[in-house]
Amino acid sequence: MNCSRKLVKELLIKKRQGILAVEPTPIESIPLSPLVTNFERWSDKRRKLYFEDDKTMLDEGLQDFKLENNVFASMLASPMRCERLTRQRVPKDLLIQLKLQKLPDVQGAKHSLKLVPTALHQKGNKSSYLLNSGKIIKKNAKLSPSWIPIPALLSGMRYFKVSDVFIDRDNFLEEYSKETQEYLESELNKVKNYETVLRNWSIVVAYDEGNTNSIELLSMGALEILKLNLGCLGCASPLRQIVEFKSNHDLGLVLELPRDEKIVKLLYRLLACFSSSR
Amino acid sequence: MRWRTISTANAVINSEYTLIKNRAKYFPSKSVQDDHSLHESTMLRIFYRRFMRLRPFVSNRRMVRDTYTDYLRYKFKVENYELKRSIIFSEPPLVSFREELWNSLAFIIKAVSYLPETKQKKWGLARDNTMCRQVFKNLLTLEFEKQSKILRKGQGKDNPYADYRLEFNHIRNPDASPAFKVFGEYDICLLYLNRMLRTRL
Repeated sequence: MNCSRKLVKELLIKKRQGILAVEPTPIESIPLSPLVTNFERWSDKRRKLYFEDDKTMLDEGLQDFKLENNVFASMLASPMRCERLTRQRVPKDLLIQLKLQKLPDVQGAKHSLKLVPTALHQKGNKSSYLLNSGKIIKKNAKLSPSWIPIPALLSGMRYFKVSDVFIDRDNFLEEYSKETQEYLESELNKVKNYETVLRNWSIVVAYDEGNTNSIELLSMGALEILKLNLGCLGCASPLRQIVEFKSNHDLGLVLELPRDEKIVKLLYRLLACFSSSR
Repeated sequence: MRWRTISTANAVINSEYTLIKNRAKYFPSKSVQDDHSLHESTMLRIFYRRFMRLRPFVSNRRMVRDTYTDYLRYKFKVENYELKRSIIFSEPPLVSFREELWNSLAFIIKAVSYLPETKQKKWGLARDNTMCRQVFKNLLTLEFEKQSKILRKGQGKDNPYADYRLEFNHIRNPDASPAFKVFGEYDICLLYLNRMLRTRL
C-alpha cells in the first residue's frame, strides 16, 4: 500500500512539476496587433512631417525663407475675410476695412451712425471689408447699403435699421484717401534716421512722377529692393514733402520689415487703390 | 480624458497630431538632385509624385485635399507660368526651372511640417514654417473660390476659365470687374512673392 501510494504521489508531483516547467509567455513576445503597430493610419489626427530640430530641417535642404521680412508674404498670410461686393474670401490686408461710427446725438437727426473706411485695420468691434480699388468702389457706390457690417445689423445689443446709417457716397474715397494720408504723415514723421544700408527685400519709398510704375522690384547685385512710387498718386499728395524730407538714400526713404510693417502695408493699399499702373 | 503619446515605427501620435518620422519619400533622392542631365519631363514627374504624396498632410478634410490635388494638376498640366509672369515682370526668371520646383516643394514641406517651438527659437525657423502654412492655407482657399467662380459660369459671353486660368485677364486688367480685382490683386502679390522666393506657387 505504502509503495503504491508513494508511486502515485511521485507521479502527481512529476506531472505538476511538468506543468510548472512551462513558463508564462512574456507580454513582449506576443505579436502586436496592426491596430497598434500602424496606429498612425487610423488615428485620425492631423498629419505632419516631424523634424526633431532646426538643424535636421536645414540639413534636409529646407532653408529659412525669412518670410517675416517679406511684405508680400505678410499680406498673403493675413486672415481671410469676406469681401462685400464679390462675397469672396480674401486676405484682409488686401482689403479696406469699414466700421460704424456713432454720430453726435442731435434732435431730429435722420442718421445715428456713419459707415467710414478705416486707414489702419482695427481689431475687435464689428467691421466689413471692401475691395481695394477706387474705380470699382466709385462704380458700385449705389450698393453702399450692403456694405454695412452684418454682425452689427444682427446684433441684439444695439438695434438700428439700414436707413439709420449715413454713407457719404460722394466723399467716401476722398475720406479714405485723406485719413490714410494723414495717418501715414504722422507715422512717417516718427521715422528716425535709421542706418541706410540696403538689405535684401528692403523697401524704398520714392516720389518719382516720371515713372508710371507704382510698385517695382529692383535687382541690385545680390539684393532685391521693392520700390513704392508715390508719384503715381499725383503731385497734390501731402506725402511728397515728407518722403523727400525724410529720404535717407539716393533711391528714397528706406523702410524695413518687420519694423515698418504698418507703414508699408498702408502705402501698398493706397497705391493699389488709387493708381492704375503696376 | 488623459491622452497618451503613442509611438510606432513610423510615427509619434499625440492628442493633436500624427507626426510622421520617415520623411525620405517626400524628398527627391540625392542622385536626382545632383543629376543635371535628367530630362525635364522625367524631373517633372519626380516632383509631381512628391507633391502628390504630401496630400494627406494638407488637411483632414477631403474638400481641402481635393482642392490641393486640382491645384497641382492645373499647375503641372495646364498653367502657362511664363505668360503669367511676363504680365508683371519683363525680365526672365532669376533661377533655373529645377531650382524653382525644388523651392516650391520646400515651401509646401515647410507648410506641413512640425517643428517644436521653444522659447529661444520662437521667432526662428518655426515661425517661418507657420507663415508658410498661413500663405499655403490662404492660397488653397483662393483656389477653391476661383474654381467655384469658374464652375458658376452664367449664360453670358464671359469665359471665366479662360480669364483666370489661361489668359490671366484678371492680372492684366484688375479694375475691369470686382471679381477680377479680388483675384488679380491676390495673384499679383503671389507673383511678387514667387519672384522673391524663387518659387512657382
